Amino acid sequence: MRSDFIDDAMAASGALIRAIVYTMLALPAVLVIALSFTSGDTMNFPPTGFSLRWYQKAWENELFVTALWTSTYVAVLVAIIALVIGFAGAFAMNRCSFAGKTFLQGLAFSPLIVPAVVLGIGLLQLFVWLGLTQTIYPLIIGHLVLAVPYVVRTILASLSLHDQLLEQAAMNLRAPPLQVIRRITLPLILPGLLSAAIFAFVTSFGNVTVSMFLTYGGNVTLPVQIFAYVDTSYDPLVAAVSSIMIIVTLIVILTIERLIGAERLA
Amino acid sequence: MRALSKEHESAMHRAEDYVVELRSVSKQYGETVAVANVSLSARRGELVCFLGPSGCGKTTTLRMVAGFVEPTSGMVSINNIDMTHQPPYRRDTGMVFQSYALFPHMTVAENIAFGLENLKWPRHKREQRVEEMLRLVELPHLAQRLPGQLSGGQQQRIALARALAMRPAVLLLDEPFSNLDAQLRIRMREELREVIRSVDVTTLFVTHDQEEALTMSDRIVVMNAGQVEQLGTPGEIYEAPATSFVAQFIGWCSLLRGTVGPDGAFTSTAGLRLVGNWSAGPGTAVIRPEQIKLSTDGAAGVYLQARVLQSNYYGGATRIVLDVNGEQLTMQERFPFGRHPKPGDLLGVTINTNEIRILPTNDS
Repeated sequence: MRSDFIDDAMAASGALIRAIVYTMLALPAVLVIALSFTSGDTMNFPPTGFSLRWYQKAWENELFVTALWTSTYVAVLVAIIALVIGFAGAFAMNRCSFAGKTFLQGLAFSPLIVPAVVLGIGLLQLFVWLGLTQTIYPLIIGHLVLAVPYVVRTILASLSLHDQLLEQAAMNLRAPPLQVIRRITLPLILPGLLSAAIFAFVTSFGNVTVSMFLTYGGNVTLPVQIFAYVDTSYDPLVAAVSSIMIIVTLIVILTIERLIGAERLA
Repeated sequence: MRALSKEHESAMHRAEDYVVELRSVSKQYGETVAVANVSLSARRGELVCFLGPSGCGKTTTLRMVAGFVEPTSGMVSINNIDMTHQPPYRRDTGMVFQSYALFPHMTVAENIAFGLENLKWPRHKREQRVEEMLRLVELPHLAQRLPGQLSGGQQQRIALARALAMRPAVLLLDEPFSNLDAQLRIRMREELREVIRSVDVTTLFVTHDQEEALTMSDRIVVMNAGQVEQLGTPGEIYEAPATSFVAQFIGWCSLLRGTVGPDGAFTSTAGLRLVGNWSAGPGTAVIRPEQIKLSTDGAAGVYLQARVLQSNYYGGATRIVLDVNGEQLTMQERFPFGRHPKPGDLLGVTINTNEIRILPTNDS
């Protein structure tokens, strides 16, 4: 009886803590989305009335539209490049033993250790020295530095679960190495690749700290633009733009999840 | 040394006959010798089995033929072409893995067609061949299934079809039955042998199951600790084991240490005397259960009084461990219902000495 009570109490408090955590995670996003539909001029909760005027304003604001476009294509490029580099790196670390392997594996954890601000300052100095500050490359390279380690770790995890015997079977069936990777390895770790791509996209799309140092006049990303805008004015336009960001991120995640699901069903 | 080079020479002369040849193949991992000096020549259509306990190097040998393991020394050739340092995808072999290794993201038909695609067969020929292979293994209705939807026996047959589709010179089987239950194992064994006969492919196969080896093979390579203990037909391996390891590993037997005197009779260390005509010197007598019979007189050999130590009922027969003049011997006999001997009982037996082999003792 007594232990039953303790079990129940534990279960109930577990559920409660989970509920609180989820609420805390979701609440800011929910609030922002709710506020973005306000018809008033201030960011006060509860919103006064319902309108899409702030979305219209966002759409008419050239700075935000350009920034959304910049953010999107930088994030897509970063996801693709990170996937290529990450797969190559993870494959080598999984299959081969070479000098400096432990160092590379350690490097895969470094973004967790180095504060993003420090990374941003360091990269800025590097690109000033290289004379690349007026281009898009600093942004892409900076985001790659952040994203590649996540991608490597995700793909490494998939590879370590992947049965290498299947690759031997393919080789026995006359498939040369590249063919084995293309037709056996990659399709079988596809879920891992896609979640790595989500990681890379979201890391790039939502980053402020490093991007702040690496953007220039014509290449401001959306989060940096929002940050700059909030500095001077505080109206529901920011809420509308943030909602758009949340939606873009959600669309990317859901699309890729659907792809994985479809692959599994086929 | 001379005998070896002579054999080498004659092998060269008859080279045409051999589909697979291993010449003094060895594999070392650092200090550990996994395979030492294995030589084998298999003719077209021959089914050769590597038999031995786990860790004896049989799988490593098979993997050296497939190309997954590179030999430290020696030569592997397939169809008279030196393949020792060629990658697996350049070797004319088809392998069935212990776990089948079917591609889980491809249908059965796609699995079978995979090798043909890599060999650049045109589409219609591929489709025809896939159909043909599915008929061969009697599973044409499963073409569009995924491997995960098949039973173990079906997966095994598909793995076989996939390996044979390319018409490889050599079929390699790595413990093909170990993942099947006992009943299915026997059925699949017969089926597999029939399929191999019908396509006439040279087959090397690895097993630790002596029954599998005896029933399926044309020749058996018995391996232990990386060495070949004996290479011969199933009959030779069972009836005329070359070493005490082979005698013990294949079938049941009792091994008695002793010496053969100048009169040709064998006396064991405990004093059991077997009259015969063996060559003098220290030796080990190999006595199979079927060489010991119940008897009331010595008509068929030496008559002996024996005391039962253990009696195990196996249904069709009872296996009894006997104490005969201080030596332990195992015999097998069918007793009438209710008359099974119990430990402590006394039995009269004769040992048929004509069929007993004495192995010269080389290890002390």
